[in-house]
Amino acid sequence: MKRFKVDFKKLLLAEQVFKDILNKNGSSHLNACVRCGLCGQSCHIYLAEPVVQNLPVSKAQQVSALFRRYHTLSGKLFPLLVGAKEFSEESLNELAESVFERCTGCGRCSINCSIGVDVASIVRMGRNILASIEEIPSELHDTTQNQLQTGNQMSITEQELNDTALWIADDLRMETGVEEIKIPVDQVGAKILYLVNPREVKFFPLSLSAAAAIFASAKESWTIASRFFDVTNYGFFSGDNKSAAIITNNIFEEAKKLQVQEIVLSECGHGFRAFRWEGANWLERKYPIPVRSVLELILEYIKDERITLDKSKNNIKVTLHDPCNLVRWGGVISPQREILAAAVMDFVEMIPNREQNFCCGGGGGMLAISECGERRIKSGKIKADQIRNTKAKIVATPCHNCADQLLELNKKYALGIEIQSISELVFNALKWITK
Amino acid sequence: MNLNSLNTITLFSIFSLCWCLIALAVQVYLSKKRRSGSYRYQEYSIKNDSAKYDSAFKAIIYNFTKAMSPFYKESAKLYPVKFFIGLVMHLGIFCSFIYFFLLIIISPSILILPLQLLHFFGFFFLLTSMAAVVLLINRVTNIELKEISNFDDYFSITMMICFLASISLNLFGVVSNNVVLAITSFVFLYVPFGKLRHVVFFFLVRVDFAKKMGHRGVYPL
Repeated sequence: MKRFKVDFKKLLLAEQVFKDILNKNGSSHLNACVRCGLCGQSCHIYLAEPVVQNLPVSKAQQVSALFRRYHTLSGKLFPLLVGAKEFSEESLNELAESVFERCTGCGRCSINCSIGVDVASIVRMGRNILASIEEIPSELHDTTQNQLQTGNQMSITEQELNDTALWIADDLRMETGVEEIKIPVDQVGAKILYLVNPREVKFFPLSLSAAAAIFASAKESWTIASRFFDVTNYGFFSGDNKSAAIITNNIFEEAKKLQVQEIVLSECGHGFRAFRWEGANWLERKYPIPVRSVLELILEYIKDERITLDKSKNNIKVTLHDPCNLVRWGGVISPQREILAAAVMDFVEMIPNREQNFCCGGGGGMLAISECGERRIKSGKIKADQIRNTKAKIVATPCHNCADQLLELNKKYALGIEIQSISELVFNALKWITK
Repeated sequence: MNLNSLNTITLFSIFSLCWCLIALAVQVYLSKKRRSGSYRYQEYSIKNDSAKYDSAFKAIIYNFTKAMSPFYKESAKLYPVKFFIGLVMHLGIFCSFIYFFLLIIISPSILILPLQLLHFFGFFFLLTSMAAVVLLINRVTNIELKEISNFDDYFSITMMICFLASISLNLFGVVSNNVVLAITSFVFLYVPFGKLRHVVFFFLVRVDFAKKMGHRGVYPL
């Protein structure tokens, strides 16, 4: 992120916004850090590049130093003695570098902190401050604007989406010979509104195709929306809670219009966390209808025998990458494992796994920030080593963001793997479809 | 405890304890008062059998037990020596508060306990103060730690060393009760200003984080 200038107005605004976002949880966590420095080994960025600036505590310090200056007596009276600092061009630039370029917000340090400080949430507060003064990486800013203006981050038009849905369904019918397969768009009264990642529509249609086959197999009533179909939320990545709230609200308005009973999110880590957990906070109201991950739905289909799988169709060794936002921050830990147990012959866990799994390196919007490319790939080595140690040939990941990063890691570290979504593996194992 | 029989330093230590408790209570109140209409723990969730939603209480228990154990928490698992040393120091600090109350309530009759027992505790507090010395040396010599440290970090731990050492020396009969009470008073006066306030916020953040993770079905594991 390029160095930015900050005028007096912005400094005042940052100070005011900081005051506003300090809810009880934030200030408790900011009061609790003892700077023991034991969080380094839990951070993939620090492990790849062990410099003090990459210590999670250093990143949190950028926010807690501001907190001490404005919200503690000692910081007001003796700022130098307690490491407090003021809002200034210097401090805000340092903050931006720390929270956008040195942290993916994966939260691994939070669960391993000796005190229990939620470091990742402190980093998010830093992003919130910077978003309020519009000093966020241009890639995140532009993508958020795309979502606000066009309804999706890749500015896919309604026509484009309709055409894609048609040809994917056509291809699928030809491939499987199952005439019932379709991808309904804007179908009023469907039970489920299925949100997809625009990446599925534009570049990698296999996930959408797999989901359509699974829905057809389960005889599900579902639809996608032609305008607000995007499961991602770049307002969340940017720390721009206002935009994140608008993006969330757009989806619920669409759901209301289509009179659906439930929103199901395709395999997207941050999209899941944003819609399932954070959205209610941004909107400051409870959701009118349930929101869940497609993984939870697929598992339900398997348990209810609405779909039947033949795991012998997936006989190559598979390992699983746990996206931080879905697993550590989202609580969807076991469904993907239960699905894989039913869908593949040979499944091996990475070590560590589940909530202790390492970030792939592409989280927190870092995949989109061009200046972070080198650090992103370097920090991904931890993940590459994890994968290599499993000796698996397929890495299943329920997150498109992670999939993009894993594709790059595959090339860079010559892993010789294939990256697939859970839906793709399930589709491949579907019994009733003649392939 | 007869208030008339209390000397000035004892009264001052009681005053400083009250100051500490009130100041911390105000800080906790302010941190709770600072809200921005957050629905953080009223997040909408649906119950299903794929995750353990709404298990905040179990998550809190978990976050104070298994989640803190060196078998799970990396900050303990990967640094067993530092973890143990830290544990010893904190054990000493908790015991020293008990000793402080004993000094106020039954002082000076505490010294009529068997000499061997007094010396045993004297050695215990000496050990805990040594643990604090090791942590201070670590902070001074570790380049990364030095970079993230400020005056408060050094001052707080130095104060703990003096505090624990004074109790040890008191049990060996080297320093008087008044010295212990004076140092303890100073500790209490300082707690709300520096990092030592984690004595309260440690519990708050572990409860807070557990509630979030429990609600989302991540904790307990």
